[in-house]
Amino acid sequence: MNITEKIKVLSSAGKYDICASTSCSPKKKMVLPNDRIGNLASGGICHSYLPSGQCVSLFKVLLSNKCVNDCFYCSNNCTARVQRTEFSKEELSKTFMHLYQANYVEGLFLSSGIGRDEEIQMERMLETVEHLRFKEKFHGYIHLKILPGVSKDKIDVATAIASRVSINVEAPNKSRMNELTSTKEYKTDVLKRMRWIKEKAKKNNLPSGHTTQLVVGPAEETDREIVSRTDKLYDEMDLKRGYFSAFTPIQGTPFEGKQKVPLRRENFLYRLDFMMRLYGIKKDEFVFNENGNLNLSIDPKFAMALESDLFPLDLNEASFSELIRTPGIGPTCAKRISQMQETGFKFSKESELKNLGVSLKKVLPFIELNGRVQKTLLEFS
Amino acid sequence: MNSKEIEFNKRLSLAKLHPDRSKERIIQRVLLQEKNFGLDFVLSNLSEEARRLCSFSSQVGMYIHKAESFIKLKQFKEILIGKAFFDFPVAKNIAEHFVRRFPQKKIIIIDENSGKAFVSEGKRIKVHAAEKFSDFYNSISDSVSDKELEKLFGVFYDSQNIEARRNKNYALRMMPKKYWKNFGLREAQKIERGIPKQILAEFC
Repeated sequence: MNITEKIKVLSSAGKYDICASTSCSPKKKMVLPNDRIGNLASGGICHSYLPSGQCVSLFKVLLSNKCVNDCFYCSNNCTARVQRTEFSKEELSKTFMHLYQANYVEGLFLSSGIGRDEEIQMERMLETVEHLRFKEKFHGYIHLKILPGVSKDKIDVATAIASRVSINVEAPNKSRMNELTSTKEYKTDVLKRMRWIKEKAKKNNLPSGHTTQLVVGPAEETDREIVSRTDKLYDEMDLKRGYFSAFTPIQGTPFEGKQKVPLRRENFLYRLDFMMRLYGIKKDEFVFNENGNLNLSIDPKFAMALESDLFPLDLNEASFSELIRTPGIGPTCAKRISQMQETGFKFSKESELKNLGVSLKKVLPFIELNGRVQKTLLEFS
Repeated sequence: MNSKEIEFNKRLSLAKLHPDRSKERIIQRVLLQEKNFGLDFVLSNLSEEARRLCSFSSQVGMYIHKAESFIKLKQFKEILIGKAFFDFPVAKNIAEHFVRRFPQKKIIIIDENSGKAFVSEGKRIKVHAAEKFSDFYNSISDSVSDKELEKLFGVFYDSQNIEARRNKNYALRMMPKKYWKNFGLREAQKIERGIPKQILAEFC
């Protein structure tokens, strides 16, 4: 098989990992050698977009798609009849470096099937990254997947040479995981490894932290379960970011007959995730229906506001945490309003809010401006 | 210099690259407002002028960000060369970005709009006439290795698409407008924005 055919097979096999972030702060006080190639950029850079709207910034490939696991949703599971192949470290490094220097991609996302043994396969992945780092002198972004069940030593090396590492939890708890696979042990293969990643990431000063991904829908898990697990991972594992992938049935897998999960559900989970991470809102404040799922016809923040007795809010007196809970006000606007409050400025006109970047249509029913409260929402629809 | 001053200076320097004719007048007014009411006032965009200044700087900032992403470089030995029609005079910023990224390479960025080429010499960028480098760029573009690389990326790009995740509206928003005509804008489904009427009625 030539290199083009390998790319076709192995990048197609890796596309369901949807992480595309490259945002990374360089390690502090790190002096970069002059003979290096590449650097880390602080803002997420997208080099091209797919018809799905997804950003293509990383050369996302598997080192090998040979796998002994039987994950029922995955195109590489051991029972799937797909062409199996693997890259050598030289092939992968050379191809990636050409694409990077031509500015087609911003970094490498390297994952792999388990092969026969996760320890051997992880060693091969580490050799590839070491080849890039020390032989090709690449100092740019590398996202390295940690295979479930690998040893602590491998995780130590991975966190020392990659920019970001991740291990996918896939499901919110053990019983849901058992519905997805019979070969992965949730607590030992995944959570225990994540604890080691947390420890080693701190020790090795991993620049972009560690992340995870959950598949949304195949095991009938609820949104409440997903949000609870994510919140727990942020609290206990120092997780940088959680990703959600709406389940898509793949031909040739045991789950091919299952129904596709709407992308809106994934989108709404991201909204909750952002509110937890960036707004500091606790998971107990989110509104779920009796089944533990989100109402997909109403924005989650708006649903929270309707349930809250915080409103109408006086912008001139409101705290940052109150402002951030108001529909139409994001962290930037809340910060700007707080800054103006400190200077003694009193908001009295809609135009002042508009200049700040506040979405008037969303915010006016929830605030008191000049002693006036918008009584109905209808005229804003 | 504190973080607010750094942010304000960054806004000013980016806004100065914007082609709008009224920018100088707006910058003068914002500087006056900053003197009279303080940095918080202008950084919060409370005045119309501060908002416009912020808009200019973010337009230029986004343009630099996108240009850094979308420009493709051709390689010949230790030279990396790229060519584009830049709407804003930001070719120097782009060249500086690649000098930081590839310190051992010679970087050449050709701006077809201004007819200038920005060439790195060590960490410095020098300006030359574009004609000198355009032929060189075209000769590399026709090389076999460059075409092969393009083809290789095409294979990778195609393999990344997940048909079930196709989202025309999102792609349209992220794509430069000039490409919209190729994308079946009229066919694009409308995104449901705002709140459904029945929920509003219940609430009110």
